[in-house]
Amino acid sequence: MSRLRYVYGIARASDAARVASAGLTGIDERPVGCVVEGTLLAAASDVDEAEYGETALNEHVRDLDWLAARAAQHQAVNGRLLELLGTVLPLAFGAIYRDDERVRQMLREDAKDRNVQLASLAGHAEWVVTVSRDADAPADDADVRALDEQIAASPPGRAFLLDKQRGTTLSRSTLRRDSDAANTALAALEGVAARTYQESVVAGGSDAVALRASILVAREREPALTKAINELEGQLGARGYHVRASGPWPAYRFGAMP
Amino acid sequence: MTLLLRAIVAPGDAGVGADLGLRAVSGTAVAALASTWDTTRVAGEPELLDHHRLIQTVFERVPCLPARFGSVFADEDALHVRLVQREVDLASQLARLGHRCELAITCAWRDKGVASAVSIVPAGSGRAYLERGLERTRGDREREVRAEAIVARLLSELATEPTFVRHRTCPRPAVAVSMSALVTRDKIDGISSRLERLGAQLPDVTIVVQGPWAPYTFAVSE
Amino acid sequence: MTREPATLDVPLVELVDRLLNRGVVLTGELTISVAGVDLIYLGLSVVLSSVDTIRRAGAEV
Repeated sequence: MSRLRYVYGIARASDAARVASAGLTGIDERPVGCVVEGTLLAAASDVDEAEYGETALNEHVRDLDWLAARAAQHQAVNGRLLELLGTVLPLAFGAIYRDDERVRQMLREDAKDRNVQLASLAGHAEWVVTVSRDADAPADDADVRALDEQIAASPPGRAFLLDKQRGTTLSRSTLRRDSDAANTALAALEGVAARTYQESVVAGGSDAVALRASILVAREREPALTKAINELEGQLGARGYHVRASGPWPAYRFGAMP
Repeated sequence: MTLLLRAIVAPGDAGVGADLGLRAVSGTAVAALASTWDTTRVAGEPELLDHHRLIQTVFERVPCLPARFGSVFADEDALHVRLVQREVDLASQLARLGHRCELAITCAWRDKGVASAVSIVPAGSGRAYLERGLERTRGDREREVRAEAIVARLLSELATEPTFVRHRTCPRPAVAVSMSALVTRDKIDGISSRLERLGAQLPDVTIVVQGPWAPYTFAVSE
Repeated sequence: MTREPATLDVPLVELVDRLLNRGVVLTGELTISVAGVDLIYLGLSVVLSSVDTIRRAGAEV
């Protein structure tokens, strides 16, 4: 049976003993060990080529159940590494190498950048903050109110045409409210975070997400983050939005950034 | 006398727009600058650009917060009432943003063909129509991935002030990245030349830098 | 005739977006609506980046 190496994340070589003794298991319940090269280690486990070779993998990733279960296992390993080591560079799902030698080659190639990243992430964790529009919040927008007044004052023909426009106006006004809520949230987060990054969202989409931001926060600023989130929840709650924060996460976003 | 709000300044700077026809309505913590406005007037692009021109002129003289276009007050008293309700928050925004400017960094796709995201394609067979639809979605995803990569390059060029950057990927068919950076004036030349060099290196987008502008994006609306 | 938004000058659209949708808001008696300028939020795509996929999967565990 041919084995490939699945890599979860990268950490400092000096942490190798701690990883080894942690007895972590990853994808398909296989044990997670270290591949060490120079100043870095890669946390890795074996996967079967039959299932994780390129062709097979491309087929499997279309199956959301298959993918979700393994993505969860991937995150479980990186979450434990964050707890154990304090800093880890998590890789995106699916970093698979032919053998340990290729893994070491990868570590050699990127060594300088990786060391810089590990140093800059030390003492920080990543959080995700989501701002979502409440489903039943009333539209409270000057544009829409003004239009409603116009409609009320118009003769029937014009009222009909203006009412059609109201559909467009409502979505534009919703989008602007979402954008305002997002900017309010970002201003609050910029006060506590070392870095902020807006993830892509569909504006005015059915899931009503106005903002999804990854933020990097120094561990000692976590109380300040909680305070900022609570204040934000109060501020945006009055405007028909709710705020959720999840973390600490391994630095999926900022660990990948230059 | 109806008034159109233009900008918020510190109380001591209330007179800065007198030569521009701007009246000042002062609170204790901030002052509002406004123009008289004829409510029968229809607002279009020229009025928007005029709004920007006035704000820019004020901003070149003193720190200010730009007002979103379109808030009209019946008279100075009406404006004063609203101002006083909000002035603590506005003063703290002015303190936070005052000495910084906004750079608007836009990466537009060079290939305009890429930009036609939402066209109705007359279907041949049903399957052909579905395949064209799938193509477009895959193309959208590829553009999104590429746009995120461009964001990463931009952020490394702006490494001086990483916190104060906001961005959106693929906000419009023609645009890969729309980014706003809040910077101090002394950093602008360095950033502009780095972005110019980056723009020359990127084969699929052109980079346009506008500003320095008043901090539209970093102001909190309410 | 209204111009097609996609052909509007990209830098101009960036400016107009800020003038209409950003900046401080002091709500007055009247909000001026702007004629002939219909743009901004068009053609957005949904992308669940691998970052989001992993985090969401992890959150469900």
